[in-house]
Amino acid sequence: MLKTKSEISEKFLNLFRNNLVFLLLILIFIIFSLKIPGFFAKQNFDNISRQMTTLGLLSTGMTLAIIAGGIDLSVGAILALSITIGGLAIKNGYSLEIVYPLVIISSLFMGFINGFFISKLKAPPIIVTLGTMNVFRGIAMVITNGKWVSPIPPEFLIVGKSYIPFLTLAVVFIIFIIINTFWKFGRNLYAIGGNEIAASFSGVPVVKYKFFIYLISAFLSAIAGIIFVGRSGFIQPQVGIGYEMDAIAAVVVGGTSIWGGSGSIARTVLGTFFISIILNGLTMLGVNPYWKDAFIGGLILLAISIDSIRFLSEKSNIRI
Amino acid sequence: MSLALELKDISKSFPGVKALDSVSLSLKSGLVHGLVGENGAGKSTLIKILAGVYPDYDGEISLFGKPVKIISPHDSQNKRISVIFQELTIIPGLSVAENIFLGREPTRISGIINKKIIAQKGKEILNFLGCNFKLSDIAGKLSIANQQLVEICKALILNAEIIIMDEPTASITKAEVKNLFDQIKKLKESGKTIIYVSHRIEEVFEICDTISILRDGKLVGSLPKEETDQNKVINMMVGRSVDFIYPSRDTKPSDVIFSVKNLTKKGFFENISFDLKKGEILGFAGLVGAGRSEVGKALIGFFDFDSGYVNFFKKNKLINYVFKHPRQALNEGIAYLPEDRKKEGLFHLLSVKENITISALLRCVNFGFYLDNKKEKNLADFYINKIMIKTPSLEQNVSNLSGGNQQKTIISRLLSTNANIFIFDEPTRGIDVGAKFEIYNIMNDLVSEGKSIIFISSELPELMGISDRIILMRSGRIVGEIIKNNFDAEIIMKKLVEG
Amino acid sequence: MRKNFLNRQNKISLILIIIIILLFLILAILSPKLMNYGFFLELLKRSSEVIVLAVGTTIVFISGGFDLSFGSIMALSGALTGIIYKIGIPFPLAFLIGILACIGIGLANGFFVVRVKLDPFIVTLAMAQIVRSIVYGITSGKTVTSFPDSFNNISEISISKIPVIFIIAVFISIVANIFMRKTIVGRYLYAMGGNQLAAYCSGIYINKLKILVYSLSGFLAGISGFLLATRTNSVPPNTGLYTPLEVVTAVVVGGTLISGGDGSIFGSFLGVFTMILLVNVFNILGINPFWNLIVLGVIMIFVVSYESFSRIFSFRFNRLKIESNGK
Repeated sequence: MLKTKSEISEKFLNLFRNNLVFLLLILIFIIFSLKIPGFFAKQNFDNISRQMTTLGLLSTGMTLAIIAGGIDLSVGAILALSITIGGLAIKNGYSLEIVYPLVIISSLFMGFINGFFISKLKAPPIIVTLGTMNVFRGIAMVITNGKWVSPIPPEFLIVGKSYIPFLTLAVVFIIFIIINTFWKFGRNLYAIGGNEIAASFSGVPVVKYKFFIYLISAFLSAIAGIIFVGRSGFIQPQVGIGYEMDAIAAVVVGGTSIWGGSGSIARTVLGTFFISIILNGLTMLGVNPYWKDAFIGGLILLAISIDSIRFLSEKSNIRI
Repeated sequence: MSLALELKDISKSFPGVKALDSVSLSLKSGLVHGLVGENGAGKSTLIKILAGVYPDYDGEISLFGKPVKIISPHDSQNKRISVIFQELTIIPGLSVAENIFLGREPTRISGIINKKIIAQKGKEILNFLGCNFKLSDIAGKLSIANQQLVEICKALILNAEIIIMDEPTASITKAEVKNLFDQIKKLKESGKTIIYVSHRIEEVFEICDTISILRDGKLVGSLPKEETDQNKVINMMVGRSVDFIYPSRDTKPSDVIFSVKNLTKKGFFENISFDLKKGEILGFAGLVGAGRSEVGKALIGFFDFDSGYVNFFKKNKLINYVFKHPRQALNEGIAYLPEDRKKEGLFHLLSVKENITISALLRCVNFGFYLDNKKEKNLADFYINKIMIKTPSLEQNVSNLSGGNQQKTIISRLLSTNANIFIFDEPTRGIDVGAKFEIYNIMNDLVSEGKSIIFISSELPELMGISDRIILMRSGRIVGEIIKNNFDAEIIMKKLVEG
Repeated sequence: MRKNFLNRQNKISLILIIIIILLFLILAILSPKLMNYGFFLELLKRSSEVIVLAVGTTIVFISGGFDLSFGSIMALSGALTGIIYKIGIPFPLAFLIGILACIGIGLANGFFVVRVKLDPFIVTLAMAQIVRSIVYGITSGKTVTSFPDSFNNISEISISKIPVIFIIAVFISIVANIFMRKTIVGRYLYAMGGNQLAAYCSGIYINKLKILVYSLSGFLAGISGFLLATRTNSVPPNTGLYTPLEVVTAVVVGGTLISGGDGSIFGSFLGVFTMILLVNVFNILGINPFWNLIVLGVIMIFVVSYESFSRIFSFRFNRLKIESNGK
């Protein structure tokens, strides 16, 4: 098949657009390494790798939710509440074998609530998770009375040491990339996000899948919480406010469409690196930390605008 | 040869309309069976029953000698029936392979999708059907014809024994039709039973072994191809006892008031040009994919188009115009009655009164912006009485009205804009006979007052009953124009189905 | 909408009035000493800013949109004006700049929704974060207290014993109510929210209206911010952090649909009072204030789920809609 000139240039343009993030990532990495003193250093990379963990874990769950056409705004709150519950157990002298499962099980309860309202009652995910975000946060504040749990016994700090956080993240990324790409699970997610009715017609158990997604997201939030406690050494119910936005940023900047049906965990990996490096660079440049959130919000708007322009050129003929 | 499918007295009703009336059909296995009929004949309903979309039907179905009840799409697929709808159920973002195997992916023990088996079986099927696309192509980027092929592949993976195709050639080119027929022949050779549902009699005669004709929900004939011909089939499709007398009128169309020139939108319609006369009902006949609705919507600025314009007289001057927004069309006196009143016409949460007045609120205000309840009520009452909308009160929620009265409400809305040119898109769809008659009367009254109506309909009888002229469209082009004296159902249908 | 008195909206309003009376009674029983003029004064004052926000949110919801950024915009108006005033700009001008900034954010929201065709949820969610961050940035995390006394004293003024800021809030509600019920644009908003396609077909300029609605929401959020500023004389950068939850819950409880097309300002007005009284009851009972978050969140989830569930229920017989168009 002969390829015309315009076909070739269109293919090139698409290749460029699809891999924009990757190119940008390399670009900012190079720029930061050259221009920011102290950036290209083992200690800094260690920092980045550890800080990336929370973001990466939350973003993974967020990616699944978004691909399936939904969203989970409650990830930060689930993180906070599950470790708060763990914290109460720690205060009462329970050890690791009890606390960790407790944290995870409570997160699954929270994921269950999200999943129930979204998949069974078919309420809009953004409203439901907006509500649960506040409810879970409220519960965390109430049961601790706003107080911290500190100090944390050393056994809980093991997960936060050296490369364990990063390794955990890497393992989770790899597992989910495999599941998404090679298992039925991933296919069905894309189908649900792409055309839910057609997916249902083809026999995909849509309700079950939607439910499960929110369980996974909650589970990953709990893992993120456990590692966070390991790194920071304290438990505080205000943890994680705004994390959901960082996670959304990592997902959309990575190139997953907010409308669902496309994207991948691999893209989110890129997005996570991107966001983490940029945030790290901003900190090293001495940019006022208050502006960090504006930056994240702006990135989100930019990413979804670019995606929308591409999406729209293939869209409807109705003049609305 | 055994019977693949046996239907006994299948009936299905919807509010106000009996879609299928005691249809009994026997289809032998290993053959291609054509199912034809006009719109509203019941083909669609029958397909959906077999697809499991309508589980509550009356009558009995037997598959290969065994009586069954089809209760859901999944059930239908499990029973080896595969339906390829016009609205394709492919996931545009996934690849061909992923779409074909969706829901039935072969997996290894570890749970990983067995890409090897997919590649192998997928290739087998693609080769068998002679497809010119690859397993890795993204389904959304393929042509409609190829997307249909993907659906056929899906059916084969499901080991379907009965494959039903609903208007498969509606949106594909002649060359692609030939390919499709080759593939159907291959399916037949491998023992599958095909039900080929289509308006296009010529194609049906080319590819099918038997032909069954539905009309008004009833089966009027089911014969082997050799025992009949196209004319006889068309006759069975359209011939009906004249038990419906359309209201007549005296007025005759006068001068041309509105001209459409070379309206074109790639993929939908091409070079549409016609004139509309004052006091005329201009019918638009056509089958699936003819593009009539799109033309109607394009005329008022609701649907995008590439080129073309309209000419009409404004204060005795001829103006060229391209409408970019329905408001512009309304300001020039051109109003459109949407084809799908639930999706495009009704405000479900508002009352009858509010649904009527929404386009003419400027006539119900004081000081230019403040709504006057009395004026609104008077306006709504005027039309409720004029065209006899049955509603307990004008504050009644419009969703509680019958289909006919809902339609009348929207028609009132159009009338309230004092438009001169109306585009009625399927005005009597889903409406009982009595209400239909009332709407025909309304149309007659309108043209008696000197207005003009573009009347788009899929029901040939009503088009012939009250139009002054009928323009025939097929595949986005105008293929003919017939004036009242020469109305002949068979000739029209022939023009519409031949290509 | 309704000559038929016992329609949905009126039923809800009636129920809320009863609940409000009940809550008053509960308050009176629990703490009789509290039921004095001072308490009511504070109540009316504090509800003022929430009422104005509820008005804006109601209009946005009815028109089929969604705006989560009003909490941040509320903080912006007071903080920006205070800071500009501090550096020497005369207060009326600073005030104007503050309001214009809020309208500007609203316009930005409208732009992204209409021109870039983005989902209003995500746009306003991101915008909320951006604006909040800007507020923190320009205030360096500190509370803004630089307001002229004349401005601060506004909250002390009462007309026949009713605080003037409450009168302003009620005035805005009444104007908004008339706007929605009795003007052409208001009717168009109800239509657009109920069925966007039908509204377009009927000749309504939906894009222009959407931009208007988001600008209006920004403007009202700004006014609300000023009402707060005059009442508390200080604007901390975390102002309005939880107000989206309060307001959205009050509005949906008041009968406005998130999906659009139906709702009333009066219902939201009652909803606000219901929520405020509920919070007060919790206060009196000594319940941890964070319980508010939990209760409001739960109420919101249930009301919204009820909305979508009842819609599903009526669609149960058309479960799988594969429509062959048949033309």
